[in-house]
Amino acid sequence: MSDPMIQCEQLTRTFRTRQGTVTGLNEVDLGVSAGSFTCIRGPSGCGKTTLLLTLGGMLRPSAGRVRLGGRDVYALSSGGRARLRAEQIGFVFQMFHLVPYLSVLDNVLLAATETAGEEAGARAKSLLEELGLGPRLTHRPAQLSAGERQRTALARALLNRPAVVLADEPTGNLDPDNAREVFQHLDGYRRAGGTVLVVTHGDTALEFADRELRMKAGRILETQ
Amino acid sequence: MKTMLRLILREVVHRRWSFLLSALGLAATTGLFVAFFVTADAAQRETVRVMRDIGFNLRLIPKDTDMDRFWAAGFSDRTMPEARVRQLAEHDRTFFTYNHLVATLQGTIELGGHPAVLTGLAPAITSGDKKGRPMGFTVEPGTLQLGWQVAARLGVKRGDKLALRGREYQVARCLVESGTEEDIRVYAALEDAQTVLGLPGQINEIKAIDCLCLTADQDPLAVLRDELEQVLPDVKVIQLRAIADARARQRQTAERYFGFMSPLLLVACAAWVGVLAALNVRERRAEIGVLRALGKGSGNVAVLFLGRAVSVGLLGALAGGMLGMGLALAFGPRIFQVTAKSIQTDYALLGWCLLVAPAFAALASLIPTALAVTHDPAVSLRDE
Repeated sequence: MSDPMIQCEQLTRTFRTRQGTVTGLNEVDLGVSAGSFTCIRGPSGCGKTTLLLTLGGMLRPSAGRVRLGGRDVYALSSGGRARLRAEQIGFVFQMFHLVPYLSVLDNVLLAATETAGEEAGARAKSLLEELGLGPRLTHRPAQLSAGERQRTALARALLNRPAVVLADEPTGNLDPDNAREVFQHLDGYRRAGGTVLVVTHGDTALEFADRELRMKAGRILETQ
Repeated sequence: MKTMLRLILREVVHRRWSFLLSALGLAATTGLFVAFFVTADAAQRETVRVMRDIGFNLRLIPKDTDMDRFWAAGFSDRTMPEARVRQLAEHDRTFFTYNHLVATLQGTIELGGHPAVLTGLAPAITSGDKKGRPMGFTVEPGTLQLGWQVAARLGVKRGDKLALRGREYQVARCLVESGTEEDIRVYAALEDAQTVLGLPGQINEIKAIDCLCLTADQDPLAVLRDELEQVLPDVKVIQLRAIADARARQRQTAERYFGFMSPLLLVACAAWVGVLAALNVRERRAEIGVLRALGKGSGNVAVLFLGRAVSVGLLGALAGGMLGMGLALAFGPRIFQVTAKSIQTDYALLGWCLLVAPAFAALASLIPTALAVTHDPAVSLRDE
């Protein structure tokens, strides 16, 4: 196994609620190798999304450390983490989170960094062609099917050639065929050298994953 | 930045009703301010004109005047050098802010066996920063203007000759009946009155209109007496209280009204724009989350919401400025008929609107923008 792309140690995240403190992540240790396809499964509320957001520099842990590409994510400034997300991480969400008033192409280009210039436009079009959305460039998200929306979100995540794609239930709203297609694209990205970490409670991802982890009550229980 | 600008424009078009509602609030406020400012000048001129027609509110007479005789005769039986009026006009003023100063010499003369009050008037001195027609009227040397009673009793009319103590003058005008002691006055140029009364270079009163620009809790007479008696120690200041108070009240009422309405209007507008901006932030929490996930920093999120606020301000300023100007031009002349011509398109004011309204909208959206910037993106992304 190559060096871990993502490494977390004793990662803990608690939330204060009116009913008391809830532990979302409980001393999680995890290493994800570069070029791997890792699938984390578990029931709703077990901490999968919390883990993904924490690994992606979006949610500061209560304790523990996250390293991404060797860099301590939460030792970076807020601006540094934003740059890290823009350049190194691609997010895919279950609800797609496309901007409703932008076209398919503009939604993808939203991820473009300021320095990307003209090249971003060409790459966005090429990605959308690859994902079968060539005829849909000027369409709004409301005019797309669920599968098309998720493929648009996938193109947005892949635009900056990130080192890691973090996908949170990316097929939760898709039928099996579309779900398979999304994972095929993620697998294609992994084959091209990228690292994929998917959290899901479905089975489809297992066909593509080279590693499966199970989560329960904020802990990683087993590794296959 | 280009991406952010595109995002702002697209969002404005997408949520156009919310945007238009915000702009409407700002347009209404801007419109009211513009209409007010454009007509305020006319209103002020109109007030000045009305107040001027009421008459002078200050009389400066020689200090050694016997006041019983003064009130009985209506003028002082003592005189002072004519130079006093220039001295007064040129002194370094603190509180005394005159609009008009007129040096006069008054004395009783016999005309056709009856008493008349000869009133010599010097040309009015207006304050350097005040433009407009001088107070009252001027009398050309060698001419007279006769009160109604005098003209009727003597049977003279405009263009006739009238002799005063051996010198002949032309009657330039016979005044209409006023129902006051004005009807037995004979108005002459100051130097003619000085000649007739045998008092060359002398006056016995300076009439003034002072703006009395003091607050309601200050006693204007005490302040003015302190100041003027230092400049002209041989002068006594008499204030025509009713006129002065009416003038001060009129000015203070307008100031109080504007002082009350302006903050109210601004607070209401800020609340309107702010609440709509807050709703916009609330509606776009997931969008903020995604932008954060895509690596957009706090600056970008702030630009997104402040840029929208500035757009609201620009549209509000444009629409409100034109609306306010239109209203002022359409209705102002009907309201302020005397000074209707002074109501004109004020391009500088429109320019200021385009600067101030966007800044105001951005300020009103500051709290919602701060909420957007500090919003935890993980919350909206996790909740979804």
